[in-house]
Amino acid sequence: MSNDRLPLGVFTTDERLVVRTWDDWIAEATGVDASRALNRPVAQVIPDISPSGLAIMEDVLSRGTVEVMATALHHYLFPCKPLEPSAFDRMEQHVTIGPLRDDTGIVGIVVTVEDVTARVEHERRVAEGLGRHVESLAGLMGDDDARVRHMAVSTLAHHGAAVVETLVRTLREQHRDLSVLSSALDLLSVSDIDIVEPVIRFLDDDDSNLRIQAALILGQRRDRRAIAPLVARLADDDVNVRFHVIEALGRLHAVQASEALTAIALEGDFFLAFPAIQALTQIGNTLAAPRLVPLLTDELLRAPVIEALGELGDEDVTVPLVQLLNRSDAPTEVITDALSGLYARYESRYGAGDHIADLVRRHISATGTQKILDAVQRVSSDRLAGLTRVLGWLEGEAVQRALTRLLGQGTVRSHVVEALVRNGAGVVVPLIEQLHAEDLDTRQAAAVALGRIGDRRATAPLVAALDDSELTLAAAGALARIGDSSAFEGLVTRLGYPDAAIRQAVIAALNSIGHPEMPQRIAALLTDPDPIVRESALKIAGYFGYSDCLDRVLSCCRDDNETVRRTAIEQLPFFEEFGAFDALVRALEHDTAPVRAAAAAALARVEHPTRTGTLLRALDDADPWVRFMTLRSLGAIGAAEAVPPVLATVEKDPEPHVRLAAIEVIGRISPAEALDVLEPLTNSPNPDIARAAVAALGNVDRDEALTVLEQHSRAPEPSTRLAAVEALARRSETRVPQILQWVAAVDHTAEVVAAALEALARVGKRDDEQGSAAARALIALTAEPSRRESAIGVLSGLPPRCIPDIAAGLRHPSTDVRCASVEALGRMKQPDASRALESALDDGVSLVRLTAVAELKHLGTRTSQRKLMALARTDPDNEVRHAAMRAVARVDEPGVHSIVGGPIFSDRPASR
Amino acid sequence: MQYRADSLGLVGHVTTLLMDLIHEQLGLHYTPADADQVGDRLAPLVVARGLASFMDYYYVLKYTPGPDDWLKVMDALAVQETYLWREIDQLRAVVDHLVPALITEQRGRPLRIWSSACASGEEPLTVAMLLDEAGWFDRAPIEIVASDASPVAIARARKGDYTQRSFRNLPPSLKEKYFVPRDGHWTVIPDLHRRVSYDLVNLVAEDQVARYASASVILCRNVFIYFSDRSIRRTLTVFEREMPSASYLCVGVSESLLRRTSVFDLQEIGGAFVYVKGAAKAPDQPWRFNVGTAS
Repeated sequence: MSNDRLPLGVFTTDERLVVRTWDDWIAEATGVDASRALNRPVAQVIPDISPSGLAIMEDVLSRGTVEVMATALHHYLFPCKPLEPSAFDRMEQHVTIGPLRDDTGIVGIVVTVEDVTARVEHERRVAEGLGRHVESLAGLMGDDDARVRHMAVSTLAHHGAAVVETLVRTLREQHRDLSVLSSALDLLSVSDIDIVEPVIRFLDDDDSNLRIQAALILGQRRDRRAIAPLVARLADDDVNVRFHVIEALGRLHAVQASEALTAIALEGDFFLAFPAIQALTQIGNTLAAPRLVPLLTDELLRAPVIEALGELGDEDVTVPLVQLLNRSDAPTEVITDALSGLYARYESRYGAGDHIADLVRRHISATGTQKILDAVQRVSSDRLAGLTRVLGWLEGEAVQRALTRLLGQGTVRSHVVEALVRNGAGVVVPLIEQLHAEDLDTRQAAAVALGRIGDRRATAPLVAALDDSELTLAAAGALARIGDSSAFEGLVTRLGYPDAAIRQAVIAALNSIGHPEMPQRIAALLTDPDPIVRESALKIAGYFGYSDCLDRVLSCCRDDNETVRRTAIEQLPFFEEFGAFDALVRALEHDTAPVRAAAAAALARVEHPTRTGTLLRALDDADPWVRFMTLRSLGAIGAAEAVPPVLATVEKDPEPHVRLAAIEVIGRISPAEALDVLEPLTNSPNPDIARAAVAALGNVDRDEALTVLEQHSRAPEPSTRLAAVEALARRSETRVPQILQWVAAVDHTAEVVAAALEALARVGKRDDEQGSAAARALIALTAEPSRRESAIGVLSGLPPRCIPDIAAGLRHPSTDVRCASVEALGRMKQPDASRALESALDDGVSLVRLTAVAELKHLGTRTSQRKLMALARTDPDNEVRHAAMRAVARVDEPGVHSIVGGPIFSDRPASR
Repeated sequence: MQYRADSLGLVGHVTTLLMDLIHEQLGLHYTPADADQVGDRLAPLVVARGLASFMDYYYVLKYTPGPDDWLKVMDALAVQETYLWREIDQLRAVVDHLVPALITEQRGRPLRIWSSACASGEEPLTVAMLLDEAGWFDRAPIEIVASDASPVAIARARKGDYTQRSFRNLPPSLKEKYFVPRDGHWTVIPDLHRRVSYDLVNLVAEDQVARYASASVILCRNVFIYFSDRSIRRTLTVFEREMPSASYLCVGVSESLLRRTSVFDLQEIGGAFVYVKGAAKAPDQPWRFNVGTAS
């Protein structure tokens, strides 16, 4: 076993528990190699497999849930010796068993087995050193010394279910001792012991303190079995119990409690209303938001309600918030933060943030605007974000002046630039003034904004700004965007700027202008005494392919300055009428190494019958970068006759990066021997070579390449896993989405997860079975809470032909997946998607119907209005009926406006 | 040819590889969220090398770096935000409290103060101004060494020309006394400029750090904020080993070495916080913090 491998193995079975995959680690741990394991029942492969483990596998197959065999209770799935020296006779294993699904349902299981022997051995040594029994350990849970309490907790956790009764008795007898309860909470958080049911029973105890503690524990456990009993306790006689129950329901994200919590909030008793509002925010049920709007009149509750509306609300709460903002006594920063949050959510989910901005613009008064202007002067920089965003939606000279001044605030600069660009022509003059600000960041931001606005009034000031050495780069970039030919002279005289970054920005600006005088000026500059100027002129000549410059470009191929020669060689292929081949060969065979390398690279773009032969001779060049560029060109050409010398280079070249380039060529050409050459290299001690080999397998047209890539998608190095994911995305096997799904679900590196999701997005856009499989894989990923939002985002970006695959998620056995499918269809904003999600209004679970109502409310299609009205009358769930009513009333239909209510802040006093 | 960073392929595993390599060589710590910024700064170097991708540039830096390739990377990435009289309380504490004590203790031996991340030189010039105002250059041998990893920054420091941006905190009287206006810039007067010597030092290259780490006062301010834990540890290891007992290390006001070292004690001196090595205790300071065990 390699020391750098994770101590973890994976195997899969089909729905009959027949082994389908069996990796090396499992083979070593069990002593059964893959050839003897594959296609046999797992109970035959491992005769002494744990009976409870088999039972759990059956459970997973039937219920589709992910199960963990905790070490403390089960110790192992199959008995075997530890793979590393240990005092233990048997390996301690942490086992996870999960379902494998396709569109027909569960088709098997996947099992991960982790060797945790070393960790358990350490914990046991600590616990056994104390030499205490369960009872006295329970007594130690009241010890003053926190270290002793912690040791007692850890030891008790090893004694399995027997400790439950001890704990419960300890709780009942000693719960008034806070240190005991603290220990019990510690145990609950580290053990896998199920004590939820006993603690639920404590909710009915006569002792209110015990009911409070039970609520605390259940909130921390986050076990959804506690929700219904906790909801029932919202009617507890003791207000302190109700307080803690409310908090627990928030932590549990108990959507089912939304209605009850909203009612508590509306009662207006601050002691309970405040936590109820916070719990609703944690729960995230957006349909609760409009019902909180009347509380904006309550001065004590106003701030938490505003924050809740910012987190939960939709466009319906925007106008009440703006009306509040218009009042002189309302908290400006809190409201603008909420509006900013609404905008961000609408923008990320629907691409419709401008709708929120438009509502604000239409309803804000002069008082509201002035309050924001005053606040940006007053607050510290960390409070500016929301204010700045809202300010950016508004119009008027005072607003524009305030925004330009805010360019100096680093924390909000990007928002300010966006706002100023949106303002466009109206802010050009103040922005030009900011080109002379004392602060460099302000000057640079002003230049960037002027470039993006594109107003030609900025050209002359930006040309003048080219003389400000700290501003030249930004000014050149802005001039490139504006594309005004009057900048030509100012730019062309700066082609000799010593800083490469600035010089390249100047070149880019000139390329974008394309001035009619440029060919003649460039031709003249090709003979400038300054080699930097000649180099810059060559790049422009090549960009446009000025045929009148060709003779001078050819002269530059013989320039005294090596960089000039190299640049000239690089440009030759861009002169279309000219046969550059001979010039490139001369350079390749006679010039210095950097120029030879440039010639080798350029040959990829110049066709000639003897091109490949010329490049093959260059594989023997003494300089490694010449060989490197030669290989790149051979890969681009894809010449089969290059294979034997390229294979020799893979094996023998002394330079790693040259071998890497050769490996890439093998991947591109994909000769018959590619797999045999690349597979051993995927385990190279040089990680770059291993990665290159993995990446090259993406193009190798052999099924075995997929197996190798799958193995490397679980490699210890994140960069190798990334390379494997990217290679998998290029393959066409229908199994690819399943492999990517696995990586996205279990990888612990965020970049790898993101790459896997992106790969699924790419594959999902293919119009074939693989594309459909990718959509199904993304649907399945929405079952993972940590992947849900990303998977929904990717699904909503798939093309319309994927709608049937996404809509299939509406029939998934998991409620969470069905809800996610509704959201994904809603965000697609396609007629077929909207029609598909209407079927979710008939779902058997109220949460799914609620989610569908929320999405259809936003979409506002005519057909959904009729279904929503029917739902408002007939749905068996109270909350769904209310939500449907509000969704229908959002449309300005006569007779239903009063359901949501008119303006909150008007001449009529608000009522509860 | 295209020059924009996004056309040079800084995506996926290339981003991770390049940033890990930069971290290993320069100590600078970047996350994938910094990819755009890193790409924009390095793209000109990629193009100047005649390369078509960041992946090729990674190979250059890893396998065949030229003598100045990493210096150019440092120049491109270094954040050169500094100005005169920055975080002045700590530098006053050095001059008003530490220097007198060290001069007494060292009995005629030159006192070395090392500004180890000096950028374009504003910090060591600030120290020089404070020492000059207190008359120390006439009373004791004091050597100010300043270094940075960026050749461009050191070149600017050696030149001694500054824009208005550098003077935002400096009292006008000191600006007039120590700088002369020239062509829209301000140049430090020779008498002050010669008090500081400049060198190139990469703070994660142990042999380079060891060159000056025997200084009695080291200023290492506002540089660890750009380093990973591993890079900080590398630099600190050399400081811990090479600095003499009775020596002082100053980091930025937003930086902390708590839980990173058991060799230094954090003390309040003259209203500022300084890390002290060994049994050293500044005069008139009745109390001190022990920072606990090393990581």
